[in-house]
Amino acid sequence: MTNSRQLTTQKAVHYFFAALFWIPVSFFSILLVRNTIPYFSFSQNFSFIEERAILFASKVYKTCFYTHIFAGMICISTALIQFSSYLLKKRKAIHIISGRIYVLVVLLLGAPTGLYMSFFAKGSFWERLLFMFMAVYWFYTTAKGFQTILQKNVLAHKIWMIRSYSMAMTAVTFRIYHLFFYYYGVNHLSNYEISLWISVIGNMMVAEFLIYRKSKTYLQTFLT
Amino acid sequence: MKTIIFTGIALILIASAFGINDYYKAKKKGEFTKLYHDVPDTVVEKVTSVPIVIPGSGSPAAANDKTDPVVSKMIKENRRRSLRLQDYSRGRIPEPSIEELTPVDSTNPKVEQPVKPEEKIVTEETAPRRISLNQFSRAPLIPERRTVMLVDTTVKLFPKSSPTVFSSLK
Repeated sequence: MTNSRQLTTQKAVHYFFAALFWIPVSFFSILLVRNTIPYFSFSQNFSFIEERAILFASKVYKTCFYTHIFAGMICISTALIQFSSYLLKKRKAIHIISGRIYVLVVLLLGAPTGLYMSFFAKGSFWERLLFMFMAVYWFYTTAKGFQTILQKNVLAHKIWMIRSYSMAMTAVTFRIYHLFFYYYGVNHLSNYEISLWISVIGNMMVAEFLIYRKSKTYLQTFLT
Repeated sequence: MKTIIFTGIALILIASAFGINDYYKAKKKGEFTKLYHDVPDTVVEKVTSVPIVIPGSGSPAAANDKTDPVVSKMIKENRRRSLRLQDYSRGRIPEPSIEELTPVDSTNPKVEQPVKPEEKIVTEETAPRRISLNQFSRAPLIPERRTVMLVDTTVKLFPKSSPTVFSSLK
């Protein structure tokens, strides 16, 4: 039997850990968007573009790149508010509108352009394969999330959207690991590859852990 | 609404087809090895050397042939790295380093013995890594360009202003 004091403590702990998770996530997401905006000056004087000068000679790659970073910005911005229980209860329209934008942008822009660019990704064959997997998995989880909400299956929709968001967030977590390993002196290419693998596998594990903790029949979540 | 999913699937298939096609084209041309331009970590901009004049060795020109006053020492020192948010990126984070040619004899002007010309000691310092907000992007970080400072190491036993044996002969 829990008394009101225990309930208040539980609530406070819940809010504390929620804040501990969402404050850095929001900060790094906003930072990512802020650092992406200058690319829309279409200047070639960015070290990222200079490093890929040969790739940027191709019009297809160039178009895919700008579309992809635009899609990434929109996805990360819109997804930030999607997990707010306040918005879901009090302002459902905002959740629906930003959710539709997220789905549209991922399915029509982000994932297809990401898939094309993955063929020329930095690193070895395995890193390219990982990027391809990310693009396909991101597309699949978003499509499933969208399909389940059309079927009014809210629980399955939540689960698939957590998986989709975990893929979108690899852009953010990659950068954090990249900086971390850089700080501890790991050489550039190793740093790039390690950060990439950890961000993808790590995000997937976190997402699956959250789903596992909430669902009683975990394995069935893949079939819904 | 299902049309969105089908359009997405169509776009994924198109992207795959284009990707595979361009991938094999690039592979055939052998472009895969040079897709990414590697940015060097250290940039040495200027290195100079100053000749030395040794007393009792004949003409100053002859002395120049024998000795090299640039005496430096190679020291690698890893400093604590600082983080900048501009490094929040998929790109390369540089390891800027300072290369200095440090004189051995600059503190002791009374050196009379010539230094062996092969003996070069270079001081290399790894500059601290900085992370700033702007580096939170996919872009590789370009190393900071540092001018190499050379301290004049010449042991000037016969300064131009002071009269020498050679000038009195004239």
